[in-house]
Amino acid sequence: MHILIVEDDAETGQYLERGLREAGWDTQWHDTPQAGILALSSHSFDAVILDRMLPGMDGVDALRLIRAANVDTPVLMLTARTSIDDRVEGLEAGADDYLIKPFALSELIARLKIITRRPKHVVEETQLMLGALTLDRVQRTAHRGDVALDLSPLEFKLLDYLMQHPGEVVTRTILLEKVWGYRFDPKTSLVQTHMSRLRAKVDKPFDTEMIRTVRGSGYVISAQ
Amino acid sequence: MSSARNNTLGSAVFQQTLIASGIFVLVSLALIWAICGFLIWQIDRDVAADIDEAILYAEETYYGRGVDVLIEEAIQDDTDIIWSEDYLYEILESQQLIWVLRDADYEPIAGYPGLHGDEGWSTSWVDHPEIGQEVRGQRVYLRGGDSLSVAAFIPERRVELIGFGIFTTLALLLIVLPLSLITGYFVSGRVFRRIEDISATAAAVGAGEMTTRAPLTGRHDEFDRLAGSINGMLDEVSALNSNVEAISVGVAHDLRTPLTNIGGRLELIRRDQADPDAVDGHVDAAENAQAQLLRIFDALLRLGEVKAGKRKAAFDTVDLSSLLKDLTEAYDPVLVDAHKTFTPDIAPGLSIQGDRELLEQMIFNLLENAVEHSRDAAKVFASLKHDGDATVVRIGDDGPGISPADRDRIFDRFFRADASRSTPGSGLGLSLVQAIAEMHGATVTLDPDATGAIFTIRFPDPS
Repeated sequence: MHILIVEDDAETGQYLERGLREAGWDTQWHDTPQAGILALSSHSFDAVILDRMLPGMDGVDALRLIRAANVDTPVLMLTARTSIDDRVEGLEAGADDYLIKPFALSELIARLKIITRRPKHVVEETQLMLGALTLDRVQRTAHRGDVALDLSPLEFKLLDYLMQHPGEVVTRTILLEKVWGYRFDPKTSLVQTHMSRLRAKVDKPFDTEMIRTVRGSGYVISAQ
Repeated sequence: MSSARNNTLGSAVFQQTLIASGIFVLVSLALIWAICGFLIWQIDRDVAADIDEAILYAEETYYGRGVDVLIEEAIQDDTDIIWSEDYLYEILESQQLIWVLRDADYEPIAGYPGLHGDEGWSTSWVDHPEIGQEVRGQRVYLRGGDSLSVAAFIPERRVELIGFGIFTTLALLLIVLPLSLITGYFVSGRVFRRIEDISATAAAVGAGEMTTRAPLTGRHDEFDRLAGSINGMLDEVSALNSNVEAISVGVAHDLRTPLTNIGGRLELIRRDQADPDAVDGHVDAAENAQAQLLRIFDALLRLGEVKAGKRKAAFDTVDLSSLLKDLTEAYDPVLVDAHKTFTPDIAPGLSIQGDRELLEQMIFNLLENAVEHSRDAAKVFASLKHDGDATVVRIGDDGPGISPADRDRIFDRFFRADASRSTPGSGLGLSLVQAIAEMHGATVTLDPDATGAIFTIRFPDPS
């Protein structure tokens, strides 16, 4: 993967470059929106990390320019502001996701993976399959092998989301955002509680664990 | 005082009084002179018609039947051909025309010899020892140098009208105008002083005298209302201002604790470099401290955002029933795992106008509060129903509750009932709940008699 970073803060820029290279990705880092837009017009990238506050230009304006030029490279916006309006503005300008500083590198990578993964089928699948796990979206049932899993509606939604991202780390914030639609950071173990209930049903009665905890970041589901 | 006078003269109210008075006087004058002028024109027209008629008749007689017939017809039987000065009194009293016929040498043939005048229309004084009056008339030449002058005394009404016009003009200019200016000066002076009081208050507050307030006269007029609303605003500003100090102290304390933890953990990481498991533990702890810091920042920024009322424009219909249902379903297992019982009681189909995300945040904060601050094995409940004229959300527990001494301060920023601050949290949660409720026109109350902490939020029905 080839990622374009547009970030004026040197420390953050270096941190992003190092982190993404360690994850095995190529990066190109520019510290002005002009250089970033220029790079985007001459090279092909898989995703853009765009800072909201850039010298001389608002990141949202830069994004509008990019989108106006019919460049549909996925864009993840970074911001130091947390206002709801800012986020809405960013998404409306064409950002694919929005991340508030400071953030964990694992969170950034997880989100980049989500926005760079293009939908394989236009028609939404009615059935998800991963290893022995099958999820029927029409019947709203889940099976592991022959065993039917008795899931609550919320647990069903959690498993559905995880199965859409096999092998990828899904963070707690992403789950809160995508499954519940909440953008708060609970002090209590809201996500952990529901995940442990889900895992009790999906994994506990079986020999192998399909859902694993990634320490300090989130969860990952895989066939093995 | 003298500067206040100068300011009164320069004040907008006085200047407007000046302009208004000026316009009033000018319009009055124009009106009076238009009416007088019209009446005078009418009088002049009638007199001129009489004179024209008389001259026409005289000319016809003179040319048709001769000068002698003219004199014979014009002179009444018992008077002289040449009028005496006494006869002029009769003419004046009976308001008849005065005339004179002269020959080529300007010698009078008949009529009053003291009447003079140029050819055509003219105004002149009539020669008479006592009657000092102007006449207006016409002189025409006849055959062989003879000339006839016919005139009428200027009617008294015409003189009176001119006098009236001059009198009212003087009265307006010398009495009404100064009077209205003086009144205007005093009225605008009063307005000016009261505005000056309010403006002085604003200046004083601006200079740092935060306790200064605009004086009220008790007349309940628009100035009192203005002063009252400015005082209200100043009270609010003062309250916010005094909050700033409390907030600074709160921020300092709440930020210092996690920052100290992070610093400590960094030190431990350096020390425990050889022990990866220990380092892992330190990193976890440091990450938790950082998350705590971010929560404080988020809450503070969100609070600012809510207080600024920015999101009010985006209000929409929010299905409160489904919002509460989703949140209580999410929290049910959390409470169960914390060994507490949870009984949600959500009436279906209740909606209000509001901001969905903020309302979620509000319920979320109350539920988090219940999870964290209720006793072990507490009974926690959440209910939504329509009660009378309001949609009511109640979220609470059965202990340990909040001590009466702390109840008033529970919504203050950074206030936490546990003075030791042993439990995690920033103390901003309930302020945020209150700010969001206020923004939605709702009230948040803490049940005074309950053993636990029970919060009631009432969203009044739109009237």
